[in-house]
Amino acid sequence: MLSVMPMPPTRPIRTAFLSGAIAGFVGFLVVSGADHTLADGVAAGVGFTAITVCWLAQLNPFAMIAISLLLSTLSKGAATLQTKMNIPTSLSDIITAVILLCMLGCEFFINYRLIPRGRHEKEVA
Amino acid sequence: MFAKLLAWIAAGVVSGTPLLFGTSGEILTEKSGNLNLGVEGMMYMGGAFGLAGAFYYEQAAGENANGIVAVVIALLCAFLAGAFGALIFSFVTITLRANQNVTGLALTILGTGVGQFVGEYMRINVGGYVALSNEMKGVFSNSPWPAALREIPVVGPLLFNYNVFVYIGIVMAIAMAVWMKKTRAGMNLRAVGESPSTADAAGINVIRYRYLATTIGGGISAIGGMVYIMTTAGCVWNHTGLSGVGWLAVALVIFCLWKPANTLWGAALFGVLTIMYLWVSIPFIPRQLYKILPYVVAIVVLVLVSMRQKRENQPPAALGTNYFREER
Repeated sequence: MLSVMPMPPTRPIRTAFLSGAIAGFVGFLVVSGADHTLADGVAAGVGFTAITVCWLAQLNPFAMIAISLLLSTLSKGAATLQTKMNIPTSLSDIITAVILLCMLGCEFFINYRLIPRGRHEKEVA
Repeated sequence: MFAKLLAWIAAGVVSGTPLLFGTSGEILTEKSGNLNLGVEGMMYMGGAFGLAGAFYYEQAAGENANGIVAVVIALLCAFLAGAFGALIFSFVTITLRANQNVTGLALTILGTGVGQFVGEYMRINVGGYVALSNEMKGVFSNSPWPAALREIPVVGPLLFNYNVFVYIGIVMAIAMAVWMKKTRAGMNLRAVGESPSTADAAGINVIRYRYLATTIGGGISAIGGMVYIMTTAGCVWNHTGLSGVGWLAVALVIFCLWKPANTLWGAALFGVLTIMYLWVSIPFIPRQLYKILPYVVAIVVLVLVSMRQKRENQPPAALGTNYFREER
């Protein structure tokens, strides 16, 4: 038989509701402030970029403002590049992803130290 | 009425074949414990590089272009592109021990960018459409069986009328299911996914299994992107057609309970649901609501699986975690 336990509204659930509410509020801002209409491409993958911003800013809210400014500058610059030099706009996507991957790789070197150990073993301490 | 249902199912199978490849590749990756969320990126890369491979082969061969060689080249290019993307993921996750979710999302953005860049760049270079000749398109989209088999009354259109990638996909899914259940290497892979520290103590090389599973799984997922571009999109590069298929594949992995044999009917079901808005029109329901059906089904399955806690249906226990030998 299925057994279902009653769930108390614990802190993670409250936090999940709160972050969903903020995301919905952002959608409202985009539709009523920037687009002035409800079109098909309102959300257009911005959510995944948001996770990128979060990680690049190391979960610090003030750094997130700077990082999101950087990412949006990159994407608008790529649009200008396309009109002037015929380079596709997805270049900004590639640059963003490479920056993120390099940051993720660098975390490793911040947390660990590489000690070369003679001829046979190269060990990561 | 019955004929319409059969036609709907046949169209659903064809449109679910990219999902079949994507899901099988992702199951192979997730069984080893790596949660590769970059399926969407790898599908884009596979689609772009597969199309580039076939297109430039046809330019180079000119009159002597052989259809089968074009299919093989497209398959190979797509597989290598996806494997390269998954290799980046494996390196950052396994060797450099980064968080798997964020790395997967970075790979999605990278793969989407690279795929769209290559597709757009080809279009600019060629100066118009990047399209294969009609007979090449025919080799990709038409059925490889002779007409005699295809015209058997009921069974013919249902079984023999699909393009060659459907059959390749079915063979691959069955082979993967048999490999995972019946061979020693498959059992080792499952052990690595469930408890890497135990597998390491038993002498299994956890790092090698994870690298190989993630890379090969990424290559198989990328073939799914190539199949979409070549069959459904008609061998023309399409920026937006492939968006969302990768995420659907990740949801389908959950629906198939991490078993490759279930992808055979799961991908067909999701394919049928995806094109449902074309075949069944219920009044007052907007088209967009049909698109959420596969995701709703995946969520229902996830809730049921975690409520009943049946041991064979659980995700691999070490899914999403990195293996530190020093922290055993």
